[in-house]
Amino acid sequence: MIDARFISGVVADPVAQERQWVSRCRQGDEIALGYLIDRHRSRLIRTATNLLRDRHEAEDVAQESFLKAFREIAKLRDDRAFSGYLYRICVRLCMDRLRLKRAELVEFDSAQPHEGGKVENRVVIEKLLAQLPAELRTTLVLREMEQLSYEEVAEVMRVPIGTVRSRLHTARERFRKLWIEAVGE
Amino acid sequence: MIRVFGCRRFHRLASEREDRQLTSREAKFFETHRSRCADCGLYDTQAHQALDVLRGAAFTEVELTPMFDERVIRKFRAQKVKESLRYWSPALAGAMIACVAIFATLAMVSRPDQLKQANLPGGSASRFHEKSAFPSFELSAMPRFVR
Repeated sequence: MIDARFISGVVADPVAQERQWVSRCRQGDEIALGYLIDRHRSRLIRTATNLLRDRHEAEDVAQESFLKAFREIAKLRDDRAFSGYLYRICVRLCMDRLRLKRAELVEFDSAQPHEGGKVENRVVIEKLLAQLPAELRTTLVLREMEQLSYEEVAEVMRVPIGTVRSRLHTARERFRKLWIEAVGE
Repeated sequence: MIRVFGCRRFHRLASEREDRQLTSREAKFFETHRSRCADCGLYDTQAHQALDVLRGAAFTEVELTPMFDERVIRKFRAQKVKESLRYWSPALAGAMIACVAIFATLAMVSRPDQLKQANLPGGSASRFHEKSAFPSFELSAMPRFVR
């Protein structure tokens, strides 16, 4: 049942508001669909861009995540969990793509140390991250770029916190070595 | 370079220092070890530098392509249609097969030459045909000038 206060636009609590939209979306309301897309798209695309380092691919993944989430919205037990559910789908899809990409890994030319400009740094980072396995790369990006806590990373990746800690340690160590190779120190 | 005991612990703490505040005991060990072990000092500097560059390369704001929402909604509609087709297609195929079977049966039954001769009624039958009371229209019988 839709809350009358919500229809009149009085509900200020974003969590309650989102719950209402999710429940409307479950009934096939396209306005609710539009609201949920509008609310989550920026975060989803940003995370996917950080993970995949490709804006167009990130948009594809975000789109796919929305479609998958809406298709399976009936299975969602708690309407408040929609945001996390959507985010998890997005990260999973990114990881799938990263695994596929790793097969066609591009070798990084460490013989030419780079100058260190912001754009150049991004290119170098992209190449260095490409050399990490999908799990390590995702953990590192979620923690360092997306600033998620250990608990949030563990929840998104569906692994224990101990695993996040050890993966993060390994990822940082490998990234440091790759970075040193790249800058030629 | 002389390796000092506790380098592994130092590396672990160097990573954990990024996420939490070290206890006073850990911090004391960290600082003492850093001042004594040149390798670990360099390690810490490099690790910091690498992570700073990584954080700096993060995308904080992304420009959205126009019509993103509309595209998702359009795709969602298409997906719903496809799903409903997938759901109903076995039933539709079954109904079509049943229709074909019924028509085939009816076509076979309605052919008199396919029926057994023994089942046909004997004798001859003719239908009573009453001559029409209305005059028939014959063009040839009409006068030439009317034609």
